[in-house]
Amino acid sequence: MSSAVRAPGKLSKKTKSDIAWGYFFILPQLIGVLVFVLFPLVYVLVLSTLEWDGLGERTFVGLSNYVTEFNNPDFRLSLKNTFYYTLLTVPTSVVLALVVALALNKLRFKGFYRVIFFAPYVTSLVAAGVVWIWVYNPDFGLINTYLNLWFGIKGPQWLLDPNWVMPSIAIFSVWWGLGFNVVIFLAGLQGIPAVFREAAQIDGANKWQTFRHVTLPLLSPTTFFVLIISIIGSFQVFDQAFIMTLDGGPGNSAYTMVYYLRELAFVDFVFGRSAAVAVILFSLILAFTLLQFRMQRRWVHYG
Amino acid sequence: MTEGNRLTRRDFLKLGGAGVAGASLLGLYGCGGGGSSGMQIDWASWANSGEATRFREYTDQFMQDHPELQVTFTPTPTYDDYHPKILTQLNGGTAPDVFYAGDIWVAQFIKNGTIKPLNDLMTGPDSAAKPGEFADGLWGPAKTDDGTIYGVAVDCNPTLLWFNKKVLQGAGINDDPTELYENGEWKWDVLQQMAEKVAAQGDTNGLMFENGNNWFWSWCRQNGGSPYDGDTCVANEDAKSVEAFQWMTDNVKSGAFTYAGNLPTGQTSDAQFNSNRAAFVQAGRWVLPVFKQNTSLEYDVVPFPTNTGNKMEPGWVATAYMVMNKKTESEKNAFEFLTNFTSAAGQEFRLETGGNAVPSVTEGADEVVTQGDDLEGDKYFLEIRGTGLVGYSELEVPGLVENMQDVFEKRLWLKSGDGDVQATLEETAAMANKGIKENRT
Repeated sequence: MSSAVRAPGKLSKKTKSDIAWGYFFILPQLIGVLVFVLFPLVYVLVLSTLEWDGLGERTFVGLSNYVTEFNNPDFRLSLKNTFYYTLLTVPTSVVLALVVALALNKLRFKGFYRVIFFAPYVTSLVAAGVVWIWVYNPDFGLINTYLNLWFGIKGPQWLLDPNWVMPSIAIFSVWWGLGFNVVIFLAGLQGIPAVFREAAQIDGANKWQTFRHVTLPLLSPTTFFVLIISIIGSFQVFDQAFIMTLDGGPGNSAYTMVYYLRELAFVDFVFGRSAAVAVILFSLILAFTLLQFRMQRRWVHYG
Repeated sequence: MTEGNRLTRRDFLKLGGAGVAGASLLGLYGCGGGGSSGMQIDWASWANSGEATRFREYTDQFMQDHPELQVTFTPTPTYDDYHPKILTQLNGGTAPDVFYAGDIWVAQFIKNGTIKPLNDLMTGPDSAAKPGEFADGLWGPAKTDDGTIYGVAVDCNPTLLWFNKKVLQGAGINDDPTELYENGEWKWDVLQQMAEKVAAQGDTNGLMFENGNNWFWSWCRQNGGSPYDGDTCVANEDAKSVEAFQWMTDNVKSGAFTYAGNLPTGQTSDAQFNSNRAAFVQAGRWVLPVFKQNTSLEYDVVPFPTNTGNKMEPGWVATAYMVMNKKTESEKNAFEFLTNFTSAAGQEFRLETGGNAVPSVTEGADEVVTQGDDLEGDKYFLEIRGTGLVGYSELEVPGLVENMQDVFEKRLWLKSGDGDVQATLEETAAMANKGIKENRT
C-alpha cells in the first residue's frame, strides 16, 4: 500500500523513521529557539512578577511591579517620549521614503542612487550617532552654522535643550533609516506591472490620478510592510538615545521605554520592574501590530 | 528497510562520540562553579586601551614572579558594560577569582554575599599590604560598620580644580590660583569673579559644572557644611550645605558656571578644557594623559577654594575596589594576586607610566605622582587623599545617586528648573533617607 492511501494514524516504519530524522536534524535549531527565544520570553513574564536584584533571593510580588511602574513618573515620561518619537519618525520616514522612491523610480542609474540612499543604513548606528552629535553642536555644529550663515537664525540647543532632544534624535533616525524604506518602496514600485498605468492613461487619467488610483493601491502591501516595520522599530528605539545623550539627556528628556528598562535593570538593579516594562512594551507593540493587521483590510490591496 | 534509511552502528557510534564530546564540553562549562582551578587565577576589570595594556604587563610580571601560577586577565572597555557582565558571571558561577568593583557595586556584592571578607587575609603573614597602609578615607562602602573589609582600593583619584592658564590670561586674569591658594586667598568669591570674567568673553566657559552628588557634597564641605550625619542625609537642614547649593545654583544661573551634566560624548568638560574653551574643570588625575598630549595646553591644578577660614576642606576622592569571589577555588592564590596588585609595589608598577591615578597606600608609591614636571600642584593630590572622602551611605543604594542627580538637574541646573534650593534639598534628602533605610532592611 502506498503512503498516499494509507489510513490516517498508521504510518509506515519508513515514514516514522523519516519524521524522527527530520526532528533530529532540526534539533539544534529547535534547542536554540527554545533556549534563546522562548525560554527568555516566558522568563520575562515570570520575572515581571518577582522582586529580584540580580543576585539575591527572588520574591513573588504579583502585579505590584506593574502598579509601581504605572505610577512612576519616569515610566510615564519614557512612554510619552516613545510615542512622541513614533509620531515624529513613522509618518515622516514613510512619506519621505515614498517620495524619494517615486523620484528614483523615474531616474536612470537608479541602482547608483539606491546605493547612495542606502549608505547611512549600512553605517553603524553608533558611528553615525557620534558624527551627528557634532552636527548638532549648538556653537559650531553644521546645522547651526548654516542656519546662521544662510538665514541669520540662531539655531536651537538641539541635544542640550529638553524640548529639542527627541526631535533631534528623530531627525537623525529618519536620515539613518530612510534608505531601507526607499529600497523596499522601489522594489514595490518595480513590481507593479506597467500595463495598469498604461490602461489608466489610455482611459484619460492624469499623473496624479494614476498615482492615486493605480500606483498607491497596488503599492499598499509594501506600504503596509514598511509601516509595520517602522512602528515596531520606533517603539524599540534605544541606540540613538544611548549614544547621543548623556544619562538620558537633560531632565531625562531622551528616556525611551527601552532606555528606561535598561536603567532599571543595570543601574537600579530592579530586574522585576524592568521585566514589567519589557512586558508592557511587548504588549504595546503586539497591540499596535494587531490593530494594523485589522485595519489593513480597509486599505491594503493584494491585487 | 534499506541500510540507507536507518542509523547504522557506525553512524550511531559517530553520533555517540559527538554526543559525548558535546556533553564533555557542557561539563567543562558546568564545572566552573565560580573562579578557576587552584593554580589558575582569573581576574577582570574595566579598562581603556592604555590601562588594559598596563594591566596585561602587570599580569605578565606577576606570572614571572609566581611561575607556579597561571593568570588570565579579561578587560571590559567600558565601566557601564563591565558590571552587568560580572553580575551575569556571578549568577552563572563563572565569575573571575578577583575582580574590580565600583563603589555602588561593592555594596551590592556584600549584600548578596558573593564576595569574601578580607580582614584575616589582609592582616595575615601572606599580606603584601596591611589595612593600615591604606588612606583612611578610601574604604567607603568596602568596609562595613562592624569593620569587615570586603574590597581594597586599587588606587584612587583625589579631585581638584584644573585651571587653563591661557584662558585665564585671555580674560585678563593674571592671578595664579596656586599662589592664591598658598597665600590662603583662594576663596569662593575669587573663583566666582574669575569664572564670571572668563564667561563674559562669550566664547569661553568659566567653570564646567558637573552633575554629580560627590561634587555637590564636596562643595558643601568647602563651605564647612556636613551634608550627611552618619547614615542620614541632612543637606536640607544643614545651613552651610543649603548655602553651598544656593551658591552653586546662582553661579549656574548667572553663567559663571557652565552646566556640563548633559554634554554629549566628545564635547564634555575635559574636551572644552582641552580646546581652550574652559578656564576650570573639576576632575581627578584621570584627565592628565589626555591633557599631556596637547602641547598647546597650559594648565595646572589647585584644591577647591573654600568659604571657611581653612585653606583646604575635605574633597572627593574617587576610587574602585578589588574584591575576591566567594566561590574562588583557591583563596590563597587569589589573595596572592589581590594583595600584590594593591600593594605599594603593585601600584607603583601600574601607575608609573600612565600617571592617571594616585596610590591608595600612603607610603611607598607616592613618587608616581610627584616625579616629573607635569604639574606644579602634584602634592595637592596627596593632601586631598589624606583628608578626602569617597562618599556617603547613598552609594550603597542602587540607582539612588542617579535619581537624586536627576532631581538636582531638573530643578536647579537646567534653565527650565524652578531654582528652589530648599525645596529641592528637602526632596532629595527625603529620597536619600528613604532609599538608605529600605536598602538596609
